[in-house]
Amino acid sequence: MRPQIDESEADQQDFERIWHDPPGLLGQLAAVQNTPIGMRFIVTAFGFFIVGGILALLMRIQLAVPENSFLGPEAYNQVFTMHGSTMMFLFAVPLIEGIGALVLPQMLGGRELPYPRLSAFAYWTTLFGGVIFYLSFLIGAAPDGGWFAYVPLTGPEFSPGKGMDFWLLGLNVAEIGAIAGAIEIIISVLRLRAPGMTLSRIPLFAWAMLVTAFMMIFAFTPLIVSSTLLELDRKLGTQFFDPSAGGDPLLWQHLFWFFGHPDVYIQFLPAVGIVSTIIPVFVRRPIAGYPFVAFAIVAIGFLSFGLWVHHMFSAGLPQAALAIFSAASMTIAIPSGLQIFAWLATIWNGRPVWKTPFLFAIGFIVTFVLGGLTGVMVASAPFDWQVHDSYFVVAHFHYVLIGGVVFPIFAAIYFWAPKFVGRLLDERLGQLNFWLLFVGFNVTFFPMHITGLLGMPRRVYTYPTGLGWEVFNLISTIGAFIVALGILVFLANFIWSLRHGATAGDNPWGADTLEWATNSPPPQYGFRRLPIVRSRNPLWDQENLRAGEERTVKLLDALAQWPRRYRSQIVTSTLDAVPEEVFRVPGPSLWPLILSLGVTGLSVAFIFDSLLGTVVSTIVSVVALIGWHWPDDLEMAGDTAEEDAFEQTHNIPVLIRGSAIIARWAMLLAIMTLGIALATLLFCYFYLRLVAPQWPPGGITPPSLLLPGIETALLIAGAVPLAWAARSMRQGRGDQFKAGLTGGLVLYVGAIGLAVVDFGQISDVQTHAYGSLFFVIVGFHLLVVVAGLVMNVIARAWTWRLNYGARYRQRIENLALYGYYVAIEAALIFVTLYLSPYV
Amino acid sequence: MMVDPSTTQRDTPFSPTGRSLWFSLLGAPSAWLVHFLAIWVIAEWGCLASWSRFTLLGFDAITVLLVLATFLVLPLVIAAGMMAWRIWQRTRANANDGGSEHRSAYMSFGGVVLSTLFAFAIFLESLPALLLHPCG
Repeated sequence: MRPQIDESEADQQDFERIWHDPPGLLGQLAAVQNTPIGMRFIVTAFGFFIVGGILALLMRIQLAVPENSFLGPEAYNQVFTMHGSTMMFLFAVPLIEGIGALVLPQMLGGRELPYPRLSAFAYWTTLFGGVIFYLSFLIGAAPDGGWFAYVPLTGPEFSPGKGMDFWLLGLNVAEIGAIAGAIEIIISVLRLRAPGMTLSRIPLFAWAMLVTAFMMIFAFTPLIVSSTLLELDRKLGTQFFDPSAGGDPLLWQHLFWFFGHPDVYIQFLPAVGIVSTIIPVFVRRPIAGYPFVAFAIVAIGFLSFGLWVHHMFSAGLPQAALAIFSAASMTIAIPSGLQIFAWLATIWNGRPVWKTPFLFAIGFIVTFVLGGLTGVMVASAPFDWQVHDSYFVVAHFHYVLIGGVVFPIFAAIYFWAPKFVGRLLDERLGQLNFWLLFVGFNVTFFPMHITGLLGMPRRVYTYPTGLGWEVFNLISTIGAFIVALGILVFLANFIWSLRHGATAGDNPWGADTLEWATNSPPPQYGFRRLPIVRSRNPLWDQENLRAGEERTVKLLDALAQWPRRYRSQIVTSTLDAVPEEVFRVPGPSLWPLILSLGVTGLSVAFIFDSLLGTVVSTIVSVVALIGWHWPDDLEMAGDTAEEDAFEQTHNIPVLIRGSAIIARWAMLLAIMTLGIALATLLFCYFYLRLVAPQWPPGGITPPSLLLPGIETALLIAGAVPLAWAARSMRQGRGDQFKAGLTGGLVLYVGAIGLAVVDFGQISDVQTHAYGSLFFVIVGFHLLVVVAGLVMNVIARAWTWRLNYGARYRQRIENLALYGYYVAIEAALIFVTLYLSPYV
Repeated sequence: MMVDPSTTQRDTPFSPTGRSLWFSLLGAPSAWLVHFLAIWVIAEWGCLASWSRFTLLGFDAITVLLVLATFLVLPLVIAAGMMAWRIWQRTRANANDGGSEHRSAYMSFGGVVLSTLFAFAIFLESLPALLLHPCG
């Protein structure tokens, strides 16, 4: 078929020039495109996996024989804390986000993630967060309170060293990156799909990543809040968790596990997506029950937020509460089981090809089902009371996490590495890798069911002879070294195959999803001529990826040739993937790295109580934020003749300053994140109030209403001029919006002034939870309002350099949205902090 | 002109709004989440604050509130499920591989499945209120 676009070599090079990163180290540091960022996430996370695995081997050596002296108790506590935290925070989630960043854009038929610089920022913060975390070893202060960091052990009294500060702040830095990544994935899957990829044709991996990304926002935000509260207790002497001062240690447990349980499903659901992608390819038929698998993913996404108290069954909670969580914990087995049966039905009706990715997928099914069975057992509170804190639980969660997450990750690497590195990994070494891991894993962890039932507790650095645990521990240790051998085989396979592996070709597996329609390795932009999708399995069902509705064909043909001044992408509608907008995608930039260094510097300065460090890091962060958002030459030149012509021809907006649709979505998701943080803080308030005998506590008068009332009124009123500014823009009365911005600014400045006065008058911050809650909630509110003020000033400053108008008004619209949120937040805080003490 | 009820082909495809599709798909799970958080708060906090010392019609206040929460949320789940069912019935016949009816049928089918599952989940989680003394 005669190509419809000019694909001469000169033309191709010209197109590639736009997507090419600058040469040298600077280019590497400034890279923002999803391919290098995704690969960096995967390599870095795998590095942490190796480190976490070495820590596991150290534990197994210590436990191989009773009364061993390889690791003392303090060292052992540090090792199991670092092992668990590394695997949960620095390996599983970043690696999965990396696979998402690398694969999703091309799988969806696009070129890039919506916010490339934010992706780069997410990577750097993950790396630096992990570095902060491990810096603790260098100063002999590794965290030792367990990966769940229960208070009061991790509070200021019993963990006075810096170890827990490294844990709290290092992980906060990493989690900020994770939430940023989540926002990108949501927007990618819902708005950056190829034309024709309706919601019913989305690949199951993309569907899983979409649900997972929403879960990340709902789960990681409370974790960041709770880590901040504990850090405030440690550094500033607040009293959130000390019962003698109005706090409650159970509050930490609720907050942590509200994150902690969904976290394991955040790791598991993408693995479901991976396995749902791989099994059909290797049995050469589409998945059975696609809708059931997709909606089981949604069901698990919701249900996982109703399980967290099953980690607290022995904490002394009322029995109806325990029963409710038991019921939910068992209910989640229904959608999980549905997925298993869908995969089994797919395999049953297909013709399996027993290559390494498929082996790991089978290994996943076997191991995860075993883990799921013990999961239903521990979901029963009375049974859990017998095995809680024993090795039975260790066995259970390793079966579901290694089976449910690690095996699919290996499957994914063997499956997608040929696409992204251009070479197949060696099949024989792959099979050896699999069997060593599968056998080694079962030899390690199956005996732990028995040691647990025989009474061996978790987190003990040794055990006495004569309890019948010796032989099982020795078997577990042998198994651990078999696993280590398997990992070594994998590393050898990967490194050798990078140079000597067979050339992969475009689609070595005969797969059905769009990323296999590109070269191996693909160009950074994925698709020059974006595809049109008419099936769930496009490469199996469609003769070509270019045919479709005439208008769309013309648009995509034109976009393969233009623009040539910048990277571009299209936005499509949520339900039916109809093209709606062409926008400019940001190119290489150092600002994400610089901002990440600033944020990291702030955390390190806080750990070491360095005022100079705090000031310098803040300045660096502010400069980086300004530089990031500074309009560049293309934006300021205002030359849009080409864009206007394209718009006329194809009847689609072309936005050189970035997508308005994506900007709106990002603001809405950011507001959702802030709302979840606020809800977490308000929950803390009412939780601690409920357990207090008196509120406000004795000796504290209820707060004055006057200043806060005026402040709240100013903030609610502040939404009005901002909304008016946005409305003026929409109605083409662009000259009036500046007055709206100014009105909002004045009201916010007034409110901030009053809030600062109010903040300064807060008493009892360090003596009672009542004062601590005031401090943190008003402090949070102040930060939110100041952020709104800064956005307002920036939008205003831009009017000196850029024109706003009916076309470029999303910044103003976003300010209005933010203004609505601030108004609602102000009202809720006023009712909670100031009115409710009078009730 | 009377429409022949025996015909199954329609001239124009049925096109539910985005809002109705999302409500039919996510209404029941969202209602479940709100219900779950409510019954947890009632069950845990109610015991901590000794709400069970109050009674209504011979039942302690915590049990009453738990049952009330369930009855308040059920209409939402039923509404989402019924909307999903109606959309699915109207779109499944013409849901050939392509077009907006395919994705409408898909989403509404999902709504039927999820509404059933979450109705069952709500029922299961409501049983403790009827079978146990809440604070025992």
